[in-house]
Amino acid sequence: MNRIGKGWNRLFDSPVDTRVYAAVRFAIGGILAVYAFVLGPDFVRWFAEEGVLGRAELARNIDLDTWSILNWLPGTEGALRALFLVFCVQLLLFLIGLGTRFQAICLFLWILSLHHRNNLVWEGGDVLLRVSLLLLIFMPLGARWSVDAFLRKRTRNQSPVWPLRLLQLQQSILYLSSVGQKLQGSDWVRGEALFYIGKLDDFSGRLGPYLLPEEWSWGFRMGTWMVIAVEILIGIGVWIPSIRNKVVIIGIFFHLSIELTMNLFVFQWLMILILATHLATPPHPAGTGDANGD
Amino acid sequence: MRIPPRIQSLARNSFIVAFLLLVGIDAFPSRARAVESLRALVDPIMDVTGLWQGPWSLFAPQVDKENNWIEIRFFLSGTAAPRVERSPSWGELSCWQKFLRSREIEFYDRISNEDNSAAWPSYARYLRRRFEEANSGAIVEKIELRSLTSTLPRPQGTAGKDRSVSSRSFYVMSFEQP
Repeated sequence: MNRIGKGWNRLFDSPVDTRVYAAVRFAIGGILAVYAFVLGPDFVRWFAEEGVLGRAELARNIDLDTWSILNWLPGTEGALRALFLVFCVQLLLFLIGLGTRFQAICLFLWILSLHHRNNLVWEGGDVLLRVSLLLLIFMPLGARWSVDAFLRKRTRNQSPVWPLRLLQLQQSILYLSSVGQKLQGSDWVRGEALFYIGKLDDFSGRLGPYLLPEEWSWGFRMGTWMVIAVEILIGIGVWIPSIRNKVVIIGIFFHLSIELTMNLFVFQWLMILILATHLATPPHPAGTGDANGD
Repeated sequence: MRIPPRIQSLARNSFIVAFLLLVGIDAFPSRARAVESLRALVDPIMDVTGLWQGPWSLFAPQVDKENNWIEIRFFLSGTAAPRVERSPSWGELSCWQKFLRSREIEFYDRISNEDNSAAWPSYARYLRRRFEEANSGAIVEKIELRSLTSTLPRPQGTAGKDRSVSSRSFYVMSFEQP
């Protein structure tokens, strides 16, 4: 029991350099800036009362436990434009690190509210972003490289790793959940999944047709099975200190290759960011305790 | 007042356990009755906290084998033939254009789904407003929403028939004229 307790404490209590948290702030802030850039022109169309989905219809189309700040505010075009401006200002403050934790809370509430105001326009990457933002609230994102740190005139160099660990564990759950789903489908088991995915007009990306041509049947079969193998490898391997760094590198290449072949908005970049945090955090309980990693 | 470290540690550990338990249950890749019951139990907490995610499908268990478009037919006052608009042919767009229109891709992918039928009247009203604003003097009497589907061919050497493009009407809304 004592051993489990020690392992638990080392997994969640180990100190991590607060510059890692600052880097996470910049990366997530950058992703949110892309989000704002893409959503901005269509903000009214997706979220206003006069847009594609009125509140009355939304209430019949979404789980009633969900809630959104947008449902308590006027749904007019002007109000929506003002809200978008507030979102952008808070994102800017988050990036420069002024009132960082408050901005992180607000950004999470904004994204949650957008997701619950129109449930027809989101994908897996958006879900991961929302959950990540919730965990960001618990991170000392403004401890370094921020206006907050400058004003405090006192630098906090290290902080417990637990919020980052939860983000990493969320990612592993995602991989293993996805593997479980894939193994229940004949397309994946037979090795045909990538053949079909490559032909979906909305998701196919830059190099898909060149990397896996239709007539190259063993290529897409191997590729399909490789996806399952790599997802198992990353989901578990990042927690084995002796192979962690190699697994992270494989994972980053895996997601870059998906980014080149498919259009999945910001999902791959978010996955790469979370994977990269493994390289900057202390080893896991089974490790040696050497803070430099493997 | 400073919270004693023991209490802090207890609160943090409770949060960690709760987070992992909730996410683990919600994302567990099974439709077994016991799992579904547990998922239903935690569902309100997941919705309120914004943690909801469900099992991560990522093109699983089965890959979508259709390309879809939405066709909108505007029936105008004093005109017999409808004016027809279609959602974009995503295959003709560049990667950058698809990236910028990612939200639209998701919307058009879902709007014809029966599960989202509650959204159809609102969408039809939006289309009517947009059309009448863009075409001054036009009066939309009726809107018909159709889903066009092109089934993907199967890999070489596998059994099964390929189908061509099919079309189905999934919603019609008539507007009362003032």
